[in-house]
Amino acid sequence: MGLAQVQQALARLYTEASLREQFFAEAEACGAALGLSPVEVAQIVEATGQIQFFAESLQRKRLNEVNRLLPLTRRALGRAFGTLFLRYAATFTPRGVRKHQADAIHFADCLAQLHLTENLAPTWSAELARYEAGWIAAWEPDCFWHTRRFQYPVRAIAQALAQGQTPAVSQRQLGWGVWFRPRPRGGVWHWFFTSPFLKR
Amino acid sequence: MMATKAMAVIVAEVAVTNSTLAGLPALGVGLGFREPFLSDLFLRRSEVDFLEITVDHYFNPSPAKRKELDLLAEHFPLIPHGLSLSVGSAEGLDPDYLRQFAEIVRRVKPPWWSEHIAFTHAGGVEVGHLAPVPFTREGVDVVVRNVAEARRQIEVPFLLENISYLVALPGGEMTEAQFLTEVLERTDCGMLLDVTNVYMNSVNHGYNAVEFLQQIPLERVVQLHFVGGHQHGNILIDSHSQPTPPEIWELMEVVLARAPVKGVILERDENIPPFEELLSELRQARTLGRQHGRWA
Repeated sequence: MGLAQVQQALARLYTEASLREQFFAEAEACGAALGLSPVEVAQIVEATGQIQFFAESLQRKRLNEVNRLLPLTRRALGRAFGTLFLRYAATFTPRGVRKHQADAIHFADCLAQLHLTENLAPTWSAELARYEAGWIAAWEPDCFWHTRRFQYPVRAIAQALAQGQTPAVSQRQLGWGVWFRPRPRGGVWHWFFTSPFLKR
Repeated sequence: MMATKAMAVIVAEVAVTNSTLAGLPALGVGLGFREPFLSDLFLRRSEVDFLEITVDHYFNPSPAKRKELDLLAEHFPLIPHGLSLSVGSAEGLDPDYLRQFAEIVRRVKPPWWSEHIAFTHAGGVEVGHLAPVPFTREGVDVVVRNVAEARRQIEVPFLLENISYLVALPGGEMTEAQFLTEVLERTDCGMLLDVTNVYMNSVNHGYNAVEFLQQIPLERVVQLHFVGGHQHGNILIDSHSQPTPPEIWELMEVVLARAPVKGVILERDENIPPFEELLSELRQARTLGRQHGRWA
């Protein structure tokens, strides 16, 4: 009880959709578990609509930032990008000064997992997200070397999208992205190697 | 005798601090610095008097970001502005964030620095935006305590900014104006008055913005923020994404007529237009300030 507990509870309510749902269904029990007094619980319940609106605005803010960090994936997925992001955002809250970068990387990983069960369209979109996330990871201040393996010719896909073209991708192709930073916090060098051995 | 002496000390301290604020330089009109307009900024630098930098962008900087900061500092007065010091956190300040903020202040040697009256993290969870501090005595005490700690690390004058807020928890012990007044007077800080936030809060929470301005200590206002936002349903959102609307220009004029404002910053973060549009707003702000004798 007291401001510290109230702020801890609010921080979680603002960022955790499942907790919000539970709290507003069973406020007394949930509030007590969060260390709140009955008066504090009642005050928070009275602000349900505002808390929900604020929480949704926080997710929209995250989406705006990740739109900027994964622009080609956004272009490829279209409106589905936002829908998929908001589903993911309910499950993970990034931290730190570089939280938006962390958010973008985690979201790309999430898309890769989703694609296994939901067959995103275009089929290479999750791989494209991982490619853009590779660039983000490579630019992290302490990154010296970063590699990723891909199932599609993502570099060519990214270049086509960046030029406003529709990528012509007829088959999968194994490839490796390598990012190298020869000097600490200096520029990033990038190579992309493709293998002729995986084409279906 | 002791009470009289104490009163004399308090009066003297307030007087010295107020003269500290009065002695701050008049900087004029400026922009919140954003990397996309770096080139345009230098091409038209005579039209921008100073810049506000978001300190978070320069924590643990790459050589390129360090060079950028040095370049900006060489050509403009810079005001370091934080996003996550979280002076409203009951748990206290993040010492690492404060240390890095202090390093930037030492590096750029500003006339003042600023942060928001808000909390951004609690219990290890980051909110991801500025969240309001309740308008209670405990809320005031928390901010006063945290500001004192910050000032032990950073001796340059500290301005506190009012935020826009979507959540107004019931149980407040005072109005927003009373809360801000008590915080500013007990911390003896200057104020970064965000005129856009005043307008948005007045619409979202149903009060008169001009009356609000009459209730806060305008003599402590050193700098203003202004910009346009957008509407989501019936709610105004401080998205920093649109040109400044007439209602906010009107409020700015009210403030410039009465407060000893030293500088104004246009905080356009999103949907950044051609640079000439930003300069057009700066020209309008410059004219307003000149009309009220705030700068040459």
